[in-house]
Amino acid sequence: MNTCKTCQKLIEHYIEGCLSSADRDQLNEHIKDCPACRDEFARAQSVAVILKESYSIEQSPQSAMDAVMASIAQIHEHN
Amino acid sequence: MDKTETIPLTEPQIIEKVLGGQFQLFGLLVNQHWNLAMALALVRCSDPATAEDIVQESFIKAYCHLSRLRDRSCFLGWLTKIVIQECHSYHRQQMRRAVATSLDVQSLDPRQIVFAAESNPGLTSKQVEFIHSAIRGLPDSFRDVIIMRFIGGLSVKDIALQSGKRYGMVRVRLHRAYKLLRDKLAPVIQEVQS
Repeated sequence: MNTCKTCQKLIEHYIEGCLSSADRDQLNEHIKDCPACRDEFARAQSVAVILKESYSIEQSPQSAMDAVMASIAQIHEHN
Repeated sequence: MDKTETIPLTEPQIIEKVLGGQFQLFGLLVNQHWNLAMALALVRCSDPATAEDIVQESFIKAYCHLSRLRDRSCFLGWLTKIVIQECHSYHRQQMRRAVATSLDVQSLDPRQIVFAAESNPGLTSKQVEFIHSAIRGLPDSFRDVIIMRFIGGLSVKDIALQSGKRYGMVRVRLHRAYKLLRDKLAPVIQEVQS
Protein backbone atom coordinates (compact mmCIF):
# COMPACT_ATOMS: atom_id res chain seq x y z
CA MET A 1 0.00 0.00 0.00
CA ASN A 2 1.38 3.39 -1.02
CA THR A 3 1.26 5.98 1.72
CA CYS A 4 2.55 9.53 1.96
CA LYS A 5 5.25 8.24 4.29
CA THR A 6 6.46 5.75 1.68
CA CYS A 7 6.23 8.45 -0.95
CA GLN A 8 8.39 10.76 1.15
CA LYS A 9 11.05 8.03 1.28
CA LEU A 10 10.89 7.70 -2.50
CA ILE A 11 11.29 11.46 -2.95
CA GLU A 12 14.33 11.22 -0.69
CA HIS A 13 15.69 8.49 -2.97
CA TYR A 14 15.14 10.80 -5.92
CA ILE A 15 17.08 13.57 -4.19
CA GLU A 16 19.84 11.08 -3.36
CA GLY A 17 20.04 9.88 -6.95
CA CYS A 18 19.01 6.31 -6.25
CA LEU A 19 15.40 6.15 -7.39
CA SER A 20 14.92 2.87 -9.25
CA SER A 21 12.39 2.49 -12.05
CA ALA A 22 10.22 0.39 -9.73
CA ASP A 23 10.41 3.18 -7.16
CA ARG A 24 9.42 5.67 -9.83
CA ASP A 25 6.37 3.62 -10.80
CA GLN A 26 5.33 3.43 -7.18
CA LEU A 27 5.85 7.17 -6.79
CA ASN A 28 3.86 7.99 -9.93
CA GLU A 29 1.06 5.76 -8.74
CA HIS A 30 0.81 7.62 -5.46
CA ILE A 31 1.14 11.19 -6.72
CA LYS A 32 -1.69 10.68 -9.19
CA ASP A 33 -4.10 10.94 -6.26
CA CYS A 34 -2.08 12.93 -3.72
CA PRO A 35 -1.63 16.64 -4.50
CA ALA A 36 0.62 17.24 -1.48
CA CYS A 37 3.16 14.59 -2.50
CA ARG A 38 2.82 15.64 -6.14
CA ASP A 39 3.80 19.20 -5.19
CA GLU A 40 6.69 17.98 -3.08
CA PHE A 41 8.04 15.84 -5.89
CA ALA A 42 7.56 18.65 -8.42
CA ARG A 43 9.58 20.94 -6.15
CA ALA A 44 12.38 18.36 -5.90
CA GLN A 45 12.42 17.98 -9.67
CA SER A 46 12.47 21.76 -10.15
CA VAL A 47 15.40 22.14 -7.76
CA ALA A 48 17.31 19.46 -9.69
CA VAL A 49 16.52 21.00 -13.06
CA ILE A 50 17.26 24.62 -12.22
CA LEU A 51 20.51 23.79 -10.43
CA LYS A 52 21.76 21.79 -13.39
CA GLU A 53 20.59 24.34 -15.88
CA SER A 54 22.08 27.29 -14.04
CA TYR A 55 25.53 25.76 -14.52
CA SER A 56 25.03 24.30 -17.95
CA ILE A 57 27.23 25.70 -20.61
CA GLU A 58 25.38 25.59 -23.85
CA GLN A 59 28.09 27.33 -25.76
CA SER A 60 30.63 24.56 -25.90
CA PRO A 61 33.74 25.28 -23.86
CA GLN A 62 35.61 23.35 -26.56
CA SER A 63 38.30 26.00 -26.93
CA ALA A 64 39.02 25.88 -23.20
CA MET A 65 39.16 22.09 -23.26
CA ASP A 66 41.31 22.17 -26.38
CA ALA A 67 43.72 24.51 -24.59
CA VAL A 68 44.00 21.98 -21.75
CA MET A 69 44.73 19.17 -24.17
CA ALA A 70 47.25 21.30 -26.08
CA SER A 71 49.13 21.97 -22.83
CA ILE A 72 49.00 18.29 -21.97
CA ALA A 73 50.34 17.36 -25.40
CA GLN A 74 53.29 19.72 -24.82
CA ILE A 75 53.93 18.23 -21.38
CA HIS A 76 53.76 14.74 -22.88
CA GLU A 77 56.28 15.69 -25.58
CA HIS A 78 58.75 17.09 -23.07
CA ASN A 79 58.61 14.02 -20.84
CA MET B 1 24.68 -8.26 -32.12
CA ASP B 2 26.87 -5.71 -33.81
CA LYS B 3 30.43 -6.95 -33.40
CA THR B 4 31.85 -3.51 -34.12
CA GLU B 5 30.07 -2.11 -31.06
CA THR B 6 32.65 -0.94 -28.57
CA ILE B 7 32.28 -0.95 -24.84
CA PRO B 8 33.12 2.46 -23.36
CA LEU B 9 36.21 2.49 -21.22
CA THR B 10 35.78 2.85 -17.49
CA GLU B 11 37.61 5.69 -15.77
CA PRO B 12 40.21 3.39 -14.21
CA GLN B 13 40.85 1.92 -17.69
CA ILE B 14 41.20 5.40 -19.20
CA ILE B 15 43.64 6.38 -16.46
CA GLU B 16 45.68 3.21 -17.02
CA LYS B 17 45.92 4.00 -20.73
CA VAL B 18 46.80 7.66 -20.12
CA LEU B 19 49.57 6.57 -17.76
CA GLY B 20 50.67 4.11 -20.40
CA GLY B 21 51.25 6.98 -22.83
CA GLN B 22 47.87 7.49 -24.52
CA PHE B 23 47.60 11.04 -23.20
CA GLN B 24 44.86 11.95 -25.71
CA LEU B 25 42.43 9.81 -23.73
CA PHE B 26 42.70 12.30 -20.89
CA GLY B 27 40.38 14.40 -23.03
CA LEU B 28 37.56 11.99 -22.15
CA LEU B 29 37.98 12.87 -18.49
CA VAL B 30 38.14 16.58 -19.31
CA ASN B 31 34.89 16.34 -21.29
CA GLN B 32 33.16 14.25 -18.68
CA HIS B 33 33.95 16.41 -15.67
CA TRP B 34 34.29 19.92 -17.10
CA ASN B 35 30.88 21.23 -15.99
CA LEU B 36 31.21 19.93 -12.46
CA ALA B 37 34.72 21.40 -12.12
CA MET B 38 33.43 24.73 -13.46
CA ALA B 39 30.56 24.73 -10.96
CA LEU B 40 32.97 24.06 -8.08
CA ALA B 41 35.22 26.91 -9.23
CA LEU B 42 32.35 29.30 -9.90
CA VAL B 43 30.92 29.03 -6.39
CA ARG B 44 34.34 30.03 -5.06
CA CYS B 45 35.17 32.79 -7.51
CA SER B 46 32.24 34.08 -9.48
CA ASP B 47 34.19 35.39 -12.44
CA PRO B 48 33.66 32.86 -15.27
CA ALA B 49 37.00 33.67 -16.92
CA THR B 50 38.87 33.11 -13.65
CA ALA B 51 36.90 29.93 -12.99
CA GLU B 52 37.82 28.67 -16.45
CA ASP B 53 41.52 29.40 -15.82
CA ILE B 54 41.32 27.55 -12.51
CA VAL B 55 39.62 24.56 -14.13
CA GLN B 56 42.18 24.45 -16.94
CA GLU B 57 45.02 24.59 -14.44
CA SER B 58 43.36 21.90 -12.33
CA PHE B 59 43.05 19.46 -15.22
CA ILE B 60 46.67 20.06 -16.21
CA LYS B 61 47.76 19.46 -12.62
CA ALA B 62 45.63 16.31 -12.47
CA TYR B 63 47.32 15.05 -15.63
CA CYS B 64 50.81 15.82 -14.32
CA HIS B 65 50.20 14.03 -11.03
CA LEU B 66 47.96 11.27 -12.31
CA SER B 67 50.34 8.53 -11.22
CA ARG B 68 49.82 9.65 -7.61
CA LEU B 69 46.13 8.76 -7.75
CA ARG B 70 46.05 5.49 -5.84
CA ASP B 71 42.40 4.54 -6.25
CA ARG B 72 41.72 5.03 -9.93
CA SER B 73 37.99 4.77 -9.47
CA CYS B 74 38.13 8.00 -7.46
CA PHE B 75 39.36 10.41 -10.12
CA LEU B 76 36.44 12.79 -9.66
CA GLY B 77 36.92 13.11 -5.90
CA TRP B 78 40.61 13.74 -6.45
CA LEU B 79 39.93 16.32 -9.17
CA THR B 80 37.44 18.04 -6.86
CA LYS B 81 40.18 18.47 -4.25
CA ILE B 82 42.57 19.89 -6.86
CA VAL B 83 39.96 22.41 -8.07
CA ILE B 84 39.27 23.53 -4.50
CA GLN B 85 43.02 23.87 -3.78
CA GLU B 86 43.46 25.92 -6.95
CA CYS B 87 40.62 28.21 -5.89
CA HIS B 88 42.28 28.72 -2.51
CA SER B 89 45.60 29.46 -4.23
CA TYR B 90 43.87 31.98 -6.45
CA HIS B 91 42.35 33.78 -3.46
CA ARG B 92 45.70 33.77 -1.64
CA GLN B 93 47.36 35.29 -4.70
CA GLN B 94 44.66 37.94 -4.87
CA MET B 95 45.21 38.78 -1.23
CA ARG B 96 48.98 39.04 -1.70
CA ARG B 97 48.52 41.26 -4.72
CA ALA B 98 46.12 43.43 -2.76
CA VAL B 99 48.62 43.87 0.04
CA ALA B 100 51.45 44.53 -2.42
CA THR B 101 49.57 47.21 -4.26
CA SER B 102 47.94 48.64 -1.11
CA LEU B 103 44.52 48.18 -2.59
CA ASP B 104 41.44 47.74 -0.49
CA VAL B 105 41.20 43.97 -0.06
CA GLN B 106 37.44 44.22 0.29
CA SER B 107 37.14 45.54 -3.20
CA LEU B 108 38.84 42.46 -4.61
CA ASP B 109 36.12 40.06 -3.63
CA PRO B 110 35.15 38.76 -7.05
CA ARG B 111 31.79 37.36 -5.96
CA GLN B 112 29.82 39.84 -7.94
CA ILE B 113 30.10 38.78 -11.49
CA VAL B 114 27.32 36.67 -12.84
CA PHE B 115 27.96 33.53 -14.82
CA ALA B 116 27.16 34.08 -18.49
CA ALA B 117 23.40 34.04 -18.44
CA GLU B 118 23.14 33.60 -22.19
CA SER B 119 24.49 30.08 -21.62
CA ASN B 120 21.26 29.16 -19.87
CA PRO B 121 18.39 29.80 -22.24
CA GLY B 122 15.76 28.41 -19.85
CA LEU B 123 16.63 30.80 -17.03
CA THR B 124 16.94 34.55 -16.97
CA SER B 125 20.21 36.15 -15.90
CA LYS B 126 18.48 37.35 -12.74
CA GLN B 127 17.36 33.81 -11.92
CA VAL B 128 20.85 32.42 -12.57
CA GLU B 129 22.32 35.08 -10.31
CA PHE B 130 19.77 34.24 -7.63
CA ILE B 131 20.47 30.49 -7.83
CA HIS B 132 24.25 30.92 -7.75
CA SER B 133 24.01 33.33 -4.88
CA ALA B 134 21.88 30.82 -2.95
CA ILE B 135 24.49 28.10 -3.54
CA ARG B 136 27.33 30.42 -2.54
CA GLY B 137 25.44 31.13 0.66
CA LEU B 138 25.62 27.49 1.74
CA PRO B 139 28.41 26.20 3.98
CA ASP B 140 31.31 24.66 1.97
CA SER B 141 30.50 21.09 2.92
CA PHE B 142 26.87 21.50 1.82
CA ARG B 143 27.81 23.33 -1.36
CA ASP B 144 30.13 20.64 -2.67
CA VAL B 145 27.64 17.85 -2.00
CA ILE B 146 24.93 19.79 -3.85
CA ILE B 147 27.22 20.40 -6.82
CA MET B 148 28.38 16.80 -7.01
CA ARG B 149 24.80 15.54 -6.78
CA PHE B 150 22.90 17.94 -9.04
CA ILE B 151 25.53 19.27 -11.44
CA GLY B 152 27.76 16.19 -11.49
CA GLY B 153 24.80 13.81 -11.37
CA LEU B 154 26.43 11.54 -8.77
CA SER B 155 24.38 9.55 -6.31
CA VAL B 156 24.97 9.85 -2.57
CA LYS B 157 26.80 6.50 -2.69
CA ASP B 158 29.15 7.76 -5.42
CA ILE B 159 29.74 11.09 -3.67
CA ALA B 160 30.73 9.18 -0.53
CA LEU B 161 33.07 7.00 -2.56
CA GLN B 162 34.64 9.91 -4.42
CA SER B 163 35.04 12.20 -1.44
CA GLY B 164 36.10 9.48 0.99
CA LYS B 165 33.35 10.54 3.41
CA ARG B 166 30.87 8.34 5.21
CA TYR B 167 27.66 7.57 3.34
CA GLY B 168 25.48 8.65 6.26
CA MET B 169 27.29 11.96 6.57
CA VAL B 170 26.95 12.74 2.87
CA ARG B 171 23.28 11.80 2.97
CA VAL B 172 22.56 14.06 5.93
CA ARG B 173 24.48 16.96 4.35
CA LEU B 174 22.66 16.53 1.07
CA HIS B 175 19.22 16.58 2.68
CA ARG B 176 20.05 19.59 4.83
CA ALA B 177 21.49 21.44 1.86
CA TYR B 178 18.53 20.45 -0.29
CA LYS B 179 16.03 21.75 2.25
CA LEU B 180 17.89 25.05 2.61
CA LEU B 181 18.08 25.46 -1.16
CA ARG B 182 14.49 24.40 -1.76
CA ASP B 183 13.33 27.14 0.58
CA LYS B 184 15.77 29.76 -0.73
CA LEU B 185 14.91 28.98 -4.33
CA ALA B 186 11.15 29.00 -3.78
CA PRO B 187 10.62 32.20 -5.83
CA VAL B 188 12.52 30.80 -8.83
CA ILE B 189 10.79 27.44 -8.53
CA GLN B 190 7.47 29.22 -8.58
CA GLU B 191 8.44 31.19 -11.68
CA VAL B 192 9.70 28.07 -13.46
CA GLN B 193 6.62 26.05 -12.57
CA SER B 194 4.10 28.73 -13.54
